Amino acid sequence: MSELLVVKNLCKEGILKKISFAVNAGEMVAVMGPSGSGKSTLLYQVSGMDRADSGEVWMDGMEICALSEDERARLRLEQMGFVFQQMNMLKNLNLIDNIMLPACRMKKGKSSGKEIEHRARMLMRKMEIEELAQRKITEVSGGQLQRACICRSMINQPKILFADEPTGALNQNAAQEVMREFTRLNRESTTILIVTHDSKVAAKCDRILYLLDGSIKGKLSLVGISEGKYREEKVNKWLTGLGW
Amino acid sequence: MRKRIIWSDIKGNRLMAVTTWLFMAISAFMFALTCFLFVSLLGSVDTLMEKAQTPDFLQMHAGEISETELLRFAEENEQVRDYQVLNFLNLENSSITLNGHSLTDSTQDNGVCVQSGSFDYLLDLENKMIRLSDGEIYVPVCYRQEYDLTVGETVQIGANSFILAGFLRDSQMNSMMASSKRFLISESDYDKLKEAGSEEYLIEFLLKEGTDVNAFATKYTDAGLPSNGPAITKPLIRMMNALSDGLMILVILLVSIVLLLISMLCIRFTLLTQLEAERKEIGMLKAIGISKGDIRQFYNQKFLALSGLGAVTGFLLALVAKGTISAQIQELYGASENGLLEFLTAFAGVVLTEGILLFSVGKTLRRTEKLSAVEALTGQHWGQKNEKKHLLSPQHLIVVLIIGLGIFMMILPQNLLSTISSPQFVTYMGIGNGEIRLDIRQTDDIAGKTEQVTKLLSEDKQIERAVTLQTNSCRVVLSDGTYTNLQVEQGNHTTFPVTYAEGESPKEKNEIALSYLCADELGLCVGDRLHLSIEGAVQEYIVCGIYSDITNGGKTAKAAYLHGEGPLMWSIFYVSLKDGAVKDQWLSDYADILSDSGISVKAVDIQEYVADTYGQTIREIHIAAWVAIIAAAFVIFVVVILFTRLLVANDRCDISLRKAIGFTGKDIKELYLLGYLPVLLAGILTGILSGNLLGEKLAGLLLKTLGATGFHFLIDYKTVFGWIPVIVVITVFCAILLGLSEIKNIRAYECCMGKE
Repeated sequence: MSELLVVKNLCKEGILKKISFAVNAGEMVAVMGPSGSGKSTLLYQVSGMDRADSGEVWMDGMEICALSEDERARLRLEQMGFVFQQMNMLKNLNLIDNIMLPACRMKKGKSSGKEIEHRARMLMRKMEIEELAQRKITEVSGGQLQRACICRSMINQPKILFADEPTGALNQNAAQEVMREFTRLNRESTTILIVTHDSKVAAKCDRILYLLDGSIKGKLSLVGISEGKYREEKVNKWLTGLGW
Repeated sequence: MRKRIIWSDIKGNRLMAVTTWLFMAISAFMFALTCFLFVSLLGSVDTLMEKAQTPDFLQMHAGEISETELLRFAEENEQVRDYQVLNFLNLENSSITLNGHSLTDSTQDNGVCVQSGSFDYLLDLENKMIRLSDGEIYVPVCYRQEYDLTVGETVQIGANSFILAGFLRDSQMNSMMASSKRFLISESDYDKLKEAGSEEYLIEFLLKEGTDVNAFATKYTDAGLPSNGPAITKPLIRMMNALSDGLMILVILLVSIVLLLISMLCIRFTLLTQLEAERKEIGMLKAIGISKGDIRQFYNQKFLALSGLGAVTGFLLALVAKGTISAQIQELYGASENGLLEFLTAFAGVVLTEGILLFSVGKTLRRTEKLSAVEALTGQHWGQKNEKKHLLSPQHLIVVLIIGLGIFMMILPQNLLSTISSPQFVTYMGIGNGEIRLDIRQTDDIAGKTEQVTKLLSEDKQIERAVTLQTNSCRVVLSDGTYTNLQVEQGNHTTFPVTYAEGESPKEKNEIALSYLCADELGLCVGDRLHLSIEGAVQEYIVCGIYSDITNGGKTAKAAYLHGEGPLMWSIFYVSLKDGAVKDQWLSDYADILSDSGISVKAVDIQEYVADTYGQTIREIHIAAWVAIIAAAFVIFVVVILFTRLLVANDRCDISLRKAIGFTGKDIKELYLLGYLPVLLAGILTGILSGNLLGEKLAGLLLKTLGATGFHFLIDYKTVFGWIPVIVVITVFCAILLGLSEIKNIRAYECCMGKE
């Protein structure tokens, strides 16, 4: 597997201290750590939302720290997808319009309106929310809204999906639904980097990076371990060993 | 998709959409209306002057004239295109009765004439040359409304009755600011009336294009031709015509500018409010890769759509309203032939307004660039990292400015009104601030009669102060050795001074004050030297003051003493009576005394003169001033409601928490009312200061273009410092209470549920 995202010696305002790691194409990696460990800051730097003080971030062979703000925005639009804990969507648009929004701003290989809508509906069907297409964002549940956010993040067929505590604001059932969708997307070869402090979410990933005080303190590979209680126990045990 | 997003956003933010549309519509309406009225006024005046063929140079004269000499001058002078002498029969105002209304109290010189032969035609209300029969009379159109006249009524002149056949437009004397009014009768009727009045001559010239009218005027006087009355040029006639209605348009223009500023602030305010509310959404858009240019464009397009709709609404409303508001202009000057130009100028005005508002929106939207996706997602505010904490938020400052501008908008027309209504206003027009003014003009032996009147006045025990000012025709020696004529008023100018834009009245023997137009033409300032040639001897004077003057052609000078005497043109006397003296009785007595002495003097009560001359303008500004107060109060009301609702929405969680710990709705409202105090006080202070200081400068600047310089407001303190602040305080108080009404819908438990 080739490396899609490579991070070398990344530093940011004392929050991140010389972090290095790589994410392979098709991999699902979780970043864990206690509050204030720098998980979200790391995600903002590697996705190009913020510029690191030093270090390098390579995305599919491109050094994103060297890009201008507009170039990084274009890169996020065309090659990355985002899912946040707060399900931020434009409140005056219905679900399908929110989902279609990033595709309408594409410049390279822009599709027609009908094609975009077709793609959005396909994604919604997969996430089992197609019947909610015309609903306002205030008229659906948290789980449904987060699944709509995943649809939005996938509308431009990104190379990598970044998720920041995607289940943090959801109840247990909704969280399970959302994680099922992430797992399915990953099986369909979408690369995913998830920031989470939920061990159940982390247990669904191929690898876990444990962040503490701005440095990676541990790495755990779950490849080859079958899903289920054993996997979750292994993760919990590993985390306990790191002082979780 | 973009259209859908914009439309959905507009539907979702109805209050913001309505506010933007409304303020843009008001601004566009005001600017379009100003353009319509301004171009319409100039167009109507120009059309009237063109159809009437107004003379380029006009010399008034009473007494003998030699038509042969005048004809020779006209023929020998290549610049003259045409020339004519018109007779004007000046009548006693008391001898004229319009449908039962006597003109006794009129301060105008009313008289009759016949239709002109070659040019300077008197036109009917369709701007066509009037032809009338014996026994018929046409009355100046300005009297139609004033005396409620209709065609077919009777006009009595002495013992002669005439049928009112119609109303006339006189391109020279249409404005109430022109001191004479011509009634039109047939030639045989004129002959019948000849003995009832004193005849004057209007010596008129049409000049070839490009002729320097001032140089021509000098040539005329140098030729020794009849000139014992004022000389008037076409540009001055145009200015006089435009001035009275121009003042109303000026007020509308000033109010438009203020409204545009308010609209800019309001739209900025709603935009800031929206940006604050959508901070997270903007952060999310940035995070998913929507560029800042795209985000800005989205907001820009939304505002373009809303303000565009407002602009169209405003423009259409202005189209509808202009007919009613320009009725006075149409009545006096007829229809303008500038229809297309009016339309295009108004359209350009609206486009400019739209451009200014969108520029302001663009500037505000730069704020979105300050906030990074990370800052928005982590809950930081605009530029929170770098900005110092200010006492007032940007929204607070905007409300202060809007209250300030609202008060500015209320004060400015009020100040203009109190200034123009004040007896002192005439001092801006070149007239002394006495109670009564007597004029000896266009008669023989002016010097002798002046001496007689001066003696009479000095012996009168009812008089507190009086002064005699004699106007002599002098010649100014220009730097290239050539001459130009100048009418110099000689006497004590400190007793009843006019208002000086710069410097002061002449006191010393070698001091001279110049009118603004004269100083401008001669290129002189206070302290410069001027050489006067009187009876062949050249004497040096120092310019000690500059004043504005619209009398006698606007180009005059004042000196305390003239070394030698040029031809005496006329004399005027300003009189102030002692307490207890009855002005009307005094005027009546003097009319009898002077009439018995065979002296023809025009005596005017200056207050009545102001009422006659500026009455229409004052009435228009009075309406404009009240409209401005209502409009400004409305704007302040809307903005304060919006602002309060925003505060309540932002503080919803805090309010809920306060309720949870036991605050009552009344307690919370009191806190907000207290919080408003500094905003209100700062707004009132800003408004009063700017209205009185900046407003004066602004009005002065605009009035200067109309010929009145050195303008200072004569403030009605009770209104400006009393009523207006009270109106604003009540408006703000009501708006706050209405805005705070949402507090009752906030539940104490909301804060526990984490609702935003």
